[in-house]
Amino acid sequence: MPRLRVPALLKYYLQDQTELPLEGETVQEALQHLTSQYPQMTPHLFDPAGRLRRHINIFLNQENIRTLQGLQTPLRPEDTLKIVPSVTGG
Amino acid sequence: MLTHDQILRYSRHLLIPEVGLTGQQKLHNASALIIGAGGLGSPIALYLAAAGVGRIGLLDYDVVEETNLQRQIAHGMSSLGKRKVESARARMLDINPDAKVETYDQPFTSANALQIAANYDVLIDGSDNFPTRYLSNDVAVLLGKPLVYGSIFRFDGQASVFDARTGPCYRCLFPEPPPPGLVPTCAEGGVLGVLPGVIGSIQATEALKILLGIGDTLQGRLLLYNALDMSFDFVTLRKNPQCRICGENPQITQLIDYEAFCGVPGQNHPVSAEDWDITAPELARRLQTDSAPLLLDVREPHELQISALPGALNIPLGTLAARLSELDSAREMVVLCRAGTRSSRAVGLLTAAGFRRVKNLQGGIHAWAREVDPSLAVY
Ligand SMILES: [Zn+2]
Repeated sequence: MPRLRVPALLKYYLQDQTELPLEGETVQEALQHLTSQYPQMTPHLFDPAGRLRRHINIFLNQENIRTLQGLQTPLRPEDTLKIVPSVTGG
Repeated sequence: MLTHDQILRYSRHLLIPEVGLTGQQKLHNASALIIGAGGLGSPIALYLAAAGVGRIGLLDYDVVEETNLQRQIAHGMSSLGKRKVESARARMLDINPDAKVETYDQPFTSANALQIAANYDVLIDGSDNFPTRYLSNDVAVLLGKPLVYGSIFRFDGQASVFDARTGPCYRCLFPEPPPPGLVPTCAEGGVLGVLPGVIGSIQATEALKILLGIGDTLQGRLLLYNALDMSFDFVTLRKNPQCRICGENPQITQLIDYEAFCGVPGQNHPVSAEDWDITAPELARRLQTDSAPLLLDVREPHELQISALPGALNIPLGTLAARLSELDSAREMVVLCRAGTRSSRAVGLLTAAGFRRVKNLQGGIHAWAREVDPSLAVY
């Protein structure tokens, strides 16, 4: 089963998990399933029009899904999806 | 040529074949600009000074406060209240009197950034806000200079090297900042004190490698560090052909208004706060009346354990957008946080969502502790 990894910044919207299993054939399906389980996560990933926010990057293993097939990128069981938001602390 | 004293000082560098006399001489002739003299800027400044980088620019427009000392190791008790750049400069010169430290006790803005940055070989981003990060990136791209990036939050750190001449820039990765209020800053969300030590040291390492021309830098890679798992992960960064500043058809060819771009009020755009703000004594008075407003505390739950106002509803700022349905827009509301920053963002968010009877507790629970109830802890 593919897995999701998020930084601590986002774990508060995932009941304190930084790593969890994903369900779905594509990145889109997996994120839809995720946000239906954890609705608090939705505004952090998507804007009100339902587009992935521009400060959120999603990496499939090492590659940004923007350089793959975007949200339509297929997921394999061994994949790790990483959400990388911009943070600004210094 | 290095003097005998310098040869002794840099002995441990001279013993490394990759540095040696030639490399040390390179560092001596090199220059770096550190943007920010806080958590990240502290270790960067101290290590670059110690390493013998000949000329170091240090830019910050802040004074040393007690809450800085948990992580900003360039400063100490003796520099409380002093300008950060002066405090750090004194410490750098104590480590290495050879260092030429050029201080800029001013904000980094579209008006001065190009002129300041043009004098340095490498730019290092140790800032703590989005406008400065986008400004630093655009300056680096427009001047054709490498930018060593680092950013931190709680237990997570990111680092990379951006050089748009040969690879991606910060905008290629993050085309736009998050909407104001969605992503908390360290002042709002906290940070493990040693985290900037780790990420800042990595930034200093990358800057030294760039100046020496050795090794493989983080260019084309983003380091994701997590202190809780003690994990170092890397993802691949590529140039975005649509990047607005370094892509195939750049739309940004000169510096812009970064505060407007990031949707935050800046020095030039004062918010007309009077309409929004309520002072602590005024709130105390209002709470005694029959028309007491609802108190909405937008801090994180663990902060309420330190100090809280009785009866306040707790919805952390980050979850507010998703929990608007829990609030009654007809009822008057006063939003509060630690010092007033998050609550003013929450007021902005609530106003944008159609709430009309919302006020911001000016100065947050700190002001309350100062002016109404001194028994509350300040943190
Ligand atoms: Zn770019």
